[in-house]
Amino acid sequence: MAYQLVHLLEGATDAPVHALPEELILLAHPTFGLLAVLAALWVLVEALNANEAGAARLKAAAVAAATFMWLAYLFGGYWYITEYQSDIALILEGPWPFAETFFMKVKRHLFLSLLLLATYLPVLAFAHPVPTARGVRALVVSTAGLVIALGLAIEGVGAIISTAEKLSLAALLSLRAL
Amino acid sequence: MMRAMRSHQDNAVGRYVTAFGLSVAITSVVNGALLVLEETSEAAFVWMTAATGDHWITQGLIIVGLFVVLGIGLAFAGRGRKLAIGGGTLAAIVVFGTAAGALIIAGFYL
Repeated sequence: MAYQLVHLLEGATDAPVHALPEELILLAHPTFGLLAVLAALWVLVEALNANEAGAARLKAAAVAAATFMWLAYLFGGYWYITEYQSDIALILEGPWPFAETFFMKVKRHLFLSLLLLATYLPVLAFAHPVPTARGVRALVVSTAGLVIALGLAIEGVGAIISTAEKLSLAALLSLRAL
Repeated sequence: MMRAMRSHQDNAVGRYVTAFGLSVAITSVVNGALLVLEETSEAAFVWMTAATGDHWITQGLIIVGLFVVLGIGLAFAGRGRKLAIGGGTLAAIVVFGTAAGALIIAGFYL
């Protein structure tokens, strides 16, 4: 999307702007990520209040966390491979190049650890749907806690990258206006 | 006797939970190490790019594959209570493994 806008600003009249489908893919990535974080929070709360009545909810929340995280990975990965590559130069030339040189590089590698943790949650939940034993509860709570902490951190990093792209476009528009 | 029972309950996390928990920790560290290899070795970068068309896709496949294979392998190796790790200890291993992987990744790019 950003690349196509730059292309138009440079005078091209034939650059197609397929905004809607691509932007929906981009929006799906953080949406599913946040849903995964919320599901992990649900797991954490169920684990802290473990009882037989909550066993089914804990399992459902763990499966939801894993499913949403995989969807975030697939949508984000698709966007990264097909659309983001053309945005890299724009960000590097803008006022926040560190968004690409540091934050995006850390994000795309750290996300794999987050994916593994989220995938591990259903293994825990189905083996221990009522985690009342201290050690088991510590394991469930810490795994869910890591998913929440890393997930929110990566959401924030995504916001930095998105802001960097907007700043780059704004700088480009300012230059064109002069 | 109560302390022994509580200790047993604490340790009863199960073979697959233990195996995949160890796999999460180990694979997180390998993820960081793989990143360093990919960024410092041109041969590794070229191979990873050629394997699937993009080095990041290859890394994802390697890491997810390793997680599954290591988890299943450790579960089979842990038959007969060989993998008797307590829940609290396993939690610490998962946390430190994830943190170590994150530090390797962030530290490399700083």
